[in-house]
Amino acid sequence: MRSYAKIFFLIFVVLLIFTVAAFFIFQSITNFDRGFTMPELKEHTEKNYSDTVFIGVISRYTPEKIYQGYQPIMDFLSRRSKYLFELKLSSSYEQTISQLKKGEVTAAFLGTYLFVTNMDGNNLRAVLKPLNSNGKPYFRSALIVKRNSDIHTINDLKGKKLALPSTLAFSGNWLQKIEFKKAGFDIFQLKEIKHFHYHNSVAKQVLMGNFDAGVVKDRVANEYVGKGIKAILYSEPIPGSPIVISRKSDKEKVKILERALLSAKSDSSVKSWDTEFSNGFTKAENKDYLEIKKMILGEK
Amino acid sequence: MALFPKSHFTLRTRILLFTGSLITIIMLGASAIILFSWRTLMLDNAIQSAEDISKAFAIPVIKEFIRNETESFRIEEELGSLINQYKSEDSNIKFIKILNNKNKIIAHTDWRKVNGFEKDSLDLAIDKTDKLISAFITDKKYGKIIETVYPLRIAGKKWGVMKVGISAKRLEAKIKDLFYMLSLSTVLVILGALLVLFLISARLTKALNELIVILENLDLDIEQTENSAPKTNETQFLFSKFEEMRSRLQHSKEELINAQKQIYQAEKLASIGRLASGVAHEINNPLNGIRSCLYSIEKNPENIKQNKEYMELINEGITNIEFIVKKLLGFARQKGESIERIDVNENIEKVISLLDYKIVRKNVEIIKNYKSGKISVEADSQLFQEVLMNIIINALDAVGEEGRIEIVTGKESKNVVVEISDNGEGIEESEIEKIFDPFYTSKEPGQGTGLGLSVSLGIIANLGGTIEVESKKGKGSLFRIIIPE
Ligand SMILES: Nc1ncnc2c1ncn2[C@@H]1O[C@H](COP(=O)(O)OP(=O)(O)O)[C@@H](O)[C@H]1O
Ligand SMILES: [Mg+2]
Repeated sequence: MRSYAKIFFLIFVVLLIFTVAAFFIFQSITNFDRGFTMPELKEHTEKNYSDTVFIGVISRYTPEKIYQGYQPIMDFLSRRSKYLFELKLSSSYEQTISQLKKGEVTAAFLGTYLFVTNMDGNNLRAVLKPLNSNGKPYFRSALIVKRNSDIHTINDLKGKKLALPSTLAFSGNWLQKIEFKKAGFDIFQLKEIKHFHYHNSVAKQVLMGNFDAGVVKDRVANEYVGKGIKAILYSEPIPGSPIVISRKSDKEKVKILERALLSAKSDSSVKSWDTEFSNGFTKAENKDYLEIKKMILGEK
Repeated sequence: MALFPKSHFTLRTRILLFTGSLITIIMLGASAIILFSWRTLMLDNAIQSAEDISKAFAIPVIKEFIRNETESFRIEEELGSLINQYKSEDSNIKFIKILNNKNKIIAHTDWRKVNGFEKDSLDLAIDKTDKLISAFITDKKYGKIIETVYPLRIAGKKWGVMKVGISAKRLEAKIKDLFYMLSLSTVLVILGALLVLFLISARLTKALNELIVILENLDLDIEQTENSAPKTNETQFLFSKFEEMRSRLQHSKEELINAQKQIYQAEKLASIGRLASGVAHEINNPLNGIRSCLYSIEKNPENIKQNKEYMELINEGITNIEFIVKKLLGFARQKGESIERIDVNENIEKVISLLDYKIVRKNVEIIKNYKSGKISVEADSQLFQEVLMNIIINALDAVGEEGRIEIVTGKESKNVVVEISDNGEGIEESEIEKIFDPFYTSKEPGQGTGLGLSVSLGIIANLGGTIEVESKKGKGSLFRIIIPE
């Protein structure tokens, strides 16, 4: 009988220990406070910039896409100089021109069409143009259709719906001002013509079948080629979208900008830049754009 | 005698305690592991979903900032309405606050906090990362929350920081539920296991106990009856093996007893052989007397009176011979053991009378120093005489001229002691421990078998006594027989 008492005592002690243990486990599992765990810090040097240099960008893409593609360029420039380079977005193409003229921005990324149509009246000067993947400072516009489309030539566009980028972009004007004239195609034979704000929107519209054909930059066309789009016509090589300055631009800041971007190709950060600029830049002059200007404006 | 040592706990209790605690410990360990790994999983999950919520919400906020870049409007108001709308859609969101690059709160779901400043060591680190970070925090106002901190930036462009507090109440409740569920199931499983163990151990120990009972009652000499065999399978096999072993043991025990009997007999016959020559002489004396009486009767048959005297002498001689033969036969005869109370002095006298002739011929002086009165032991008189015979013959063998043998009897506490000492050749010190070994002898072949002392010690040990020796080479020996009264 004494051994039974012993066993009961033992069981009692064990239960007591378990209860206490369970209590502490309960305390510890319900207290899950945990401070912030810092992610690895990026190399970050606090720099005292002597001034801020604003760079304008025409709104050829959504603002988010512009920040993603252009902000790394600003970071690169800030790293390479004593200035802090900042983007100045605009809500319209014209706004960027006016920013340039007023000196609110030291330089601006303009489209080729916008530059050639505004260069004279505003005393604008191209300083840099981007290189394409072949190392040439050109781009082409491309007429794109769906891969299984029965449109093969300009004339097949009869009765079709055409999507174009902004009227202020070269691609938005190429067909009407150059190719239709060559082919003797009357614009009113189209069923519909619509301008979209961004190149990507045009490609998407064609891909979705909302429009039968569209025009985009070759670079954008290439992005969609694997996804059910084909290009049936390319333009002549057009000098790429220039970085433009005005009379008001600070010469020293422009020099720094030029020097940095001309050597940009070797920088590791170019991979994160907008693909239009990831092959680097070359020097540009206004006369590079005279020929295309004549073609567009119909000058002799 | 019990096979198992007595302990405070029965075998069954010990099995229960040991296995029971083992099961309990394993179950508790397993539950603890499950508990903590599930908890980690839940926490990770909660963090993940909190971070997803924050990331998703950061997109429209960044959009607002970008829109503000081109359109310049009162972003504080826009953000304020945006975050309040978002908070109202998800009751788990406790607060959302947006800080600009100067750590000024430009939007907060608690409008009173707007325009305040917030700066701690965390914000400095936030400046340098573009990743979302999060923590579990117990807040005074919001209770347990997951706070996420998200730098609002694209590449190097940073507008500020968004901090979101998401309630961890549901998470806490889930973890508590998990704890309760696991505790309950652990207790149930342990109780179940213990119950099964309890029943199994009952069966097992029942069989074992049966076996123990049988083993305890086991007698080598008695064959087990069928119905005493255990009923359970586990022990039946063991039991049959045991039976086999028992009969083998019994067999070898019988063989041993037989061998021992033969040794006894051999030694006895050897002693008789050595007695025989003396006996012949003893018989010769009366025979010579009888012969000369017969001779005288034959010479003078008419002298009746004289012849009658001779006849009486002849009768006396025959009685003498009869007595001697009886003594010898009495010693040689193999009788069944019969233990009775026997007189020690009387038995010594009988042995000495058997050895008379040897004693006289060797001219040995026998000194008797018996304790007065009767001293007795419980023994078989035949075997006891054999022991005395052995030791006295050894002494007679050992003594030379002017030999002296002293026999002392007495009592020491509860023991009867018989000391037989001689002034013979003695024993080498290194040999003393060997003299009780069977077949150890220093004598010529035919003179000694080397069995005498070994057999004697066996007989005395059987009575619960012992034989001690003291000896010095050249001086003599003393043999002390000690038997419990
Ligand atoms: N009283 C004694 N004195 C000297 N030696 C003895 C005496 N008793 C025994 N021994 C020694 O012990 C040996 C063993 O004795 P025992 O076992 O009787 O065999 P055995 O007499 O046949 O030799 C003897 O051979 C002898 O050497
Ligand atoms: Mg002997």
